[in-house]
Amino acid sequence: MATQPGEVDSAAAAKYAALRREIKECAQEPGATLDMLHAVQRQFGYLEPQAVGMVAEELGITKAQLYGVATFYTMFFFEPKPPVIARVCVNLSCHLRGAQEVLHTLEEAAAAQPEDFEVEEVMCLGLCEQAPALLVNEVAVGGVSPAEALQKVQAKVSAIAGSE
Amino acid sequence: MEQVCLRRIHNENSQDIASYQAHDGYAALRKALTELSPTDVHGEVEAANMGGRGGAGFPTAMKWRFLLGAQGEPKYVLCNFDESEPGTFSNRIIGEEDPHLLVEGCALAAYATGCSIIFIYIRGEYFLAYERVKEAVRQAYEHGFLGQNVLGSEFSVEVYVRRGAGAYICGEETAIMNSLEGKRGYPRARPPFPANEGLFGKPTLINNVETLSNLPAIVLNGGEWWNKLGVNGGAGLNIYCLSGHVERPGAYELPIGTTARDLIYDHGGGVWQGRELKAWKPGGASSAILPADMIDLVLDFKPVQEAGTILGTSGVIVMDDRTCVVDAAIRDATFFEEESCGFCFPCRDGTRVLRSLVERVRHGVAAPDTMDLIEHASQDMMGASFCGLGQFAPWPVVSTVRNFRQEYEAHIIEKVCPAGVCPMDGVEPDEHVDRRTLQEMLVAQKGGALA
Ligand SMILES: Cc1cc2nc3c(=O)[nH]c(=O)nc-3n(C[C@H](O)[C@H](O)[C@H](O)COP(=O)(O)O)c2cc1C
Ligand code: SF4
Ligand code: FES
Repeated sequence: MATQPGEVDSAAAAKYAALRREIKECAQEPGATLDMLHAVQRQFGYLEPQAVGMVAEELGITKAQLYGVATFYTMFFFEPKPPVIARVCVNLSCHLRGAQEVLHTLEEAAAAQPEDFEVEEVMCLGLCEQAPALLVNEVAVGGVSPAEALQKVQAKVSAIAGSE
Repeated sequence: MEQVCLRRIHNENSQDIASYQAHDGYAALRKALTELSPTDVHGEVEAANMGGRGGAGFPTAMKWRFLLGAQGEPKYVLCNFDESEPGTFSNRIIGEEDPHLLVEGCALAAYATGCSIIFIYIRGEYFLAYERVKEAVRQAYEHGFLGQNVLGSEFSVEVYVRRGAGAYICGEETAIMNSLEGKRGYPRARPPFPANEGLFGKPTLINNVETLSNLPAIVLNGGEWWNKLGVNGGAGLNIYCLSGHVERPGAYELPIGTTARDLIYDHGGGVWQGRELKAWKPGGASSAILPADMIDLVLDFKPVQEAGTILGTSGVIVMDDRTCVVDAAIRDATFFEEESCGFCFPCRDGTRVLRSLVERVRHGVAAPDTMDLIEHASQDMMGASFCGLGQFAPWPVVSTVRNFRQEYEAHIIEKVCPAGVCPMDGVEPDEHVDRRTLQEMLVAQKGGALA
């Protein structure tokens, strides 16, 4: 897995270049600030500061102003994250069908493999008919036992590890 | 049974334009552009007498009329696809399974109200719905249903699909505009109303996904036809989102005016595992908890309001006889504390006060006057909060106190949780509880200047 310094730089440069293109494309349409931030997060897994700077420049505002906006929204991360994020809904409909058990099972597992995935308690995901529900990265998972939820998360972890 | 919004969702490739067109898709838009003037379309919506499905039930035709007199170009249609009210998922199903229905509905609204740009704002967590709606918009452009001179007519319209990023408040009609403008999602003062000065300062029509998705059927079959689909004096169909302790949770598109009993028992298969009903909510987190004996309530905007709560998003949440209402209340209280945008004092502090009071009840360490404190804080919040979030946030808590008083007394005085759900461990939550009224807090904050 070890990469040479030169390789890292060119990989990073390619990432920034791709991102700049995407941001420019977003900027063609009005009202795309959040989409630009989503693009940054898709590329880096969080709002990487240099990339946030690129967005701010494109929008003609300061980084401070842009962070002021970004911090309002719960989906953005401000530090690097493990490759898999499990967002577990803890609101009423899911709670009534065992959300706490799902949450505890996942949290316990995450404590043992913090490099692999992280668990977040989130508010209603609009999957209430499938309660208890969670998002494993971008994929909705519902109607699962704690063990099944964990299995979905582990499968995602393996899939990502396998694709690298 | 007649269905409009959920009619096509089980078709194969229902999200694809070919499937949509095979089932009357874009026939309403074609009809409008070739046979009907914008006024005619407006007239059908008027005849339908539809109340908006975003939560308030505001008459759609009336909202459209505000836009007709508004000055400024361009005019926008803003489709509110932020759907974040706990217990609510009808918009998601439409967006995932029948996105063209929504696109056609948006185009019809734009045609009728003289708007040339449509924004569809989708909550950030709806990844699949976003992909499907975006692809539907692309296909619709390709087939000439969007863009310049739609189907060779004079009507031109552009559509932008935007994502939110996790903030319930961005479903509020002015906060969503700030969010789209690249700002923090704080609500704005009204007036000016969105119809006159909305998105980017221009006239803006804001409607919910389900509201817009009813339009194709209304235009195709007539407003009167749609209107007559309701029962018990109601107008049209409505999607009830059923969740919680029910055998068959799901989205049910039924005549508006269906009773809670019919919804929960006939359609939802009753309370799960053969248990008894204890409590239920008619309209998502923002609505009051009702006792089982109100099960014959007619689920339409007016009757639910007369019963002292709101139909809201018609997210009906069912709780069985093993549920503790204090345990239920803490979930909703936590939701509103998390989602308060913090812009105004009564909601920012009130949601925190309510949650911490209920937390103490759960742990068996609540002061004897806790129910009074909850009542006071709730009334202050309802009266003084800047937007709907803070005005409705106390309902799920104060309604548990009002409707299940004995259960609170058991927790507070006898120090037992009758359902055996709450921790009741006598442990003081590690946080300060403010026993002052919100008024007193405000006075203290301002150094007494407002006393
Ligand atoms: C805190 C808050 C959150 C809201 N969230 C939504 C939402 O997610 N979707 C929605 O359509 N309306 C939501 N509304 C209602 C909107 O402000 C607005 O009334 C609605 O979108 C209008 O559409 P309609 O006339 O078609 O119902 C919310 C209101 C408040 C106060
Ligand atoms: S009522 Fe709550 S959500 Fe609304 S403006 Fe005030 S703090 Fe923000
Ligand atoms: S309450 Fe969990 S997804 Fe809605």
